[in-house]
Amino acid sequence: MLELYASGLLSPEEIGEVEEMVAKYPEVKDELMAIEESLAVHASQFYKAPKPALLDSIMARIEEEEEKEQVEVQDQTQVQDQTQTQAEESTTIGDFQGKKEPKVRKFNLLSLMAVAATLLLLISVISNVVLYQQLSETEQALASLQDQQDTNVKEFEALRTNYNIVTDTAYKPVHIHGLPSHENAFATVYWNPINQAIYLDASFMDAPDADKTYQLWAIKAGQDPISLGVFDTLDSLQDVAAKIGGDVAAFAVSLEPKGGSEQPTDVWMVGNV
Amino acid sequence: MCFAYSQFIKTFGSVAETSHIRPIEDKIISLLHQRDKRAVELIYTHYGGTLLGVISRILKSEELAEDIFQDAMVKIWKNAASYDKSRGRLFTWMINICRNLAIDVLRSKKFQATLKIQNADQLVSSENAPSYSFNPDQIGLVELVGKLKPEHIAIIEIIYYKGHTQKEAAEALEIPLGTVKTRLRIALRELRQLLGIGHT
Repeated sequence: MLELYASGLLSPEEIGEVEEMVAKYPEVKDELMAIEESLAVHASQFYKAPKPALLDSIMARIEEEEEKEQVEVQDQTQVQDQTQTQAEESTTIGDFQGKKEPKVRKFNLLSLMAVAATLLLLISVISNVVLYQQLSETEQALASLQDQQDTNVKEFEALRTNYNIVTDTAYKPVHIHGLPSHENAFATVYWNPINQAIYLDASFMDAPDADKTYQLWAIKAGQDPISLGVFDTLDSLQDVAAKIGGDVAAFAVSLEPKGGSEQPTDVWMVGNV
Repeated sequence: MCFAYSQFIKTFGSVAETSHIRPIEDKIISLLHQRDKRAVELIYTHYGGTLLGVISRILKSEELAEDIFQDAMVKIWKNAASYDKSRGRLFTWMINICRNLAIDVLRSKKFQATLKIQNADQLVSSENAPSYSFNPDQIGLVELVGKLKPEHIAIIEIIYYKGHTQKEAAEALEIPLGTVKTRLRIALRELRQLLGIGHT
């Protein structure tokens, strides 16, 4: 078996068995070494001096192999060693420039991305601010329009009421003219004798002095004037809450101290029914 | 070391290539581990002749043998890490590399084709002349090995230098398959006795 092993005639399985035995038993190993030794000595009889040129050629081929290996090793480790290599070789200007290039490119890409990201963020923030402002303005405009709309609706309702009263034949329009001392003053009372409702239109009157007020009176024959309430300025027709029954001879407006009076002190205007 | 071997050394002087000069082998192994190319020079100087001789013995063609010798030296250098000192001598390991490379070539179809067109006379003459260039030390060894029985010389030759399998050897020597193994064992024992190596 050992002879065949030494002659390379065994199957891989048998080789394994022999090697196991050799490892286990020193005497088997000695036996094998002796066989190999005698075969080696036997081989020496075929000695043939190699030409010196062969050594040069062998050395050249080994150099070649080594360079090939180094290139392979370099290729494999280039990526992971790059950073380290740069650090180590940074003293050599040529290498420094040559090897540093990829890192610079990587760095540039990174900063480019950072700058781009920052710009995008900035644009986004600005857009948000602008859009928020626009939204606020729009909301304000909408609110203002809604207010306007409410006002318009109110005014329209008021005008419709005025129109209804003015055009209602049940109401008697009584024009109250200024006396000679106040001849530019003018107002109109719309009086409904059936339901006793009274409306006052004093929109053409100037505002009284700060400590004064206007007061409206109803005049009945044989009676003292009946107060129908005080007013300062009126934009539109005013519903006068007070009611009076029976025949009214005339309506009058006087200027009174703030709060009004029991009896008129300074009558400005009078209108006969 | 046995008496006969010492006698052989005394009689024929040191055959450098048989390398019982262990210090050189140790030096080469240590240089190989350090990947120092001086190892290759030492191998070339101390073992190159035998390694080339083995290859030449197998391939019979000087030019081809030199090519394969170069391949073998490069392979020895490249595969040095796979050499395990505990499993045998470096010299034996190197011989086996050379032998395996040469036998692979011998068995290749291309070589078989060139062999066929070669002159039969050349083959016969080269087989009869084991060495191409004698070195004074090895003449003694050749004579010593020549003391073996022809059948033992033949079995070592055919297994070791022709790369024959046991079956092929049985056919070539016209002996039963079982006898090949027995004869090889006896031949190697005789050789060892002759060389005075180990216990016999």
